[in-house]
Amino acid sequence: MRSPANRRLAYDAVFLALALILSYLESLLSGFLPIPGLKLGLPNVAVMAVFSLFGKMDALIVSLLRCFVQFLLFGSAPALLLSLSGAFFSFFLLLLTDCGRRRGIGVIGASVLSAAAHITGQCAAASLFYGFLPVLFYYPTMLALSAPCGIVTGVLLVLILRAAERIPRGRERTP
Amino acid sequence: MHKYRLKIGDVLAPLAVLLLSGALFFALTARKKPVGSVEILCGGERTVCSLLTDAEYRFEHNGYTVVLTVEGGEAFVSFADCPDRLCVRAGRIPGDTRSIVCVPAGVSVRAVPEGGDYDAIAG
Repeated sequence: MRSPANRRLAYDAVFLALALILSYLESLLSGFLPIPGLKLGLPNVAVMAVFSLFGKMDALIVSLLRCFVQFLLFGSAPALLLSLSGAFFSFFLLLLTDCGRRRGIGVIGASVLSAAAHITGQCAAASLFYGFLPVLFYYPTMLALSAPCGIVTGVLLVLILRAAERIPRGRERTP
Repeated sequence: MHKYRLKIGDVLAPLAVLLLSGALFFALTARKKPVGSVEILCGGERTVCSLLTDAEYRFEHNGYTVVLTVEGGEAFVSFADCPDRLCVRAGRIPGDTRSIVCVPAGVSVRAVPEGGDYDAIAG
């Protein structure tokens, strides 16, 4: 743990575990939500936290590993494709907004755009399997819901970033 | 403690997403025609079922069974043994929704309006 690289790897693993726990929690919560298929995007909080704290490469690795481990634990092949597609679209928006570090947009705005991109990616992948039209009718509702969900995850991210201010980063030298 | 400052993009981003979804919703529903039948896609096979006759259709794909019931001019998934059963909770076509998708079973159901498909989509 003394080496900065090892420390960073350990933190990435912790955030990957957090993303998986949040995925599971989200799947439990989705049964209580009024709209079928609606998910809050809680695992994205962990990915955005890694992006903000450790950089884009770590976030990409955590995001991809989360999709694959989730698939191995509870998923199906179509669900993996949907998950990967959503993760890539969402990550692309995080790159564009630099996870809320660009001038004029904060983490809440970045989180909303990332959530919207996530559902866009998932619908694009789903349309390959199930045809364009059935998915198109779902899309506006899910896109509208991505805005409040993105705000919720953005606020959670702000809280996590506040709590993580005391985390020593991987780039720092340790005695 | 670090204080988060709201930026203009934090307000504009949700508004832009809501506006876009509203515009899409309007474009899809503005010229809504009465629904005459439903189209089911299952493993590349296309089936069209009329909503005029009550019936039950069973689809088996990817190791799961999905039962589509047509009753009183509405179609809904009455049974599915997929893990999440979101398709069963999706509601009825055309009353609650215009399409139902079961991801694990690979089955999709969509409303087909009387006299053909949506003008906006068919171009």
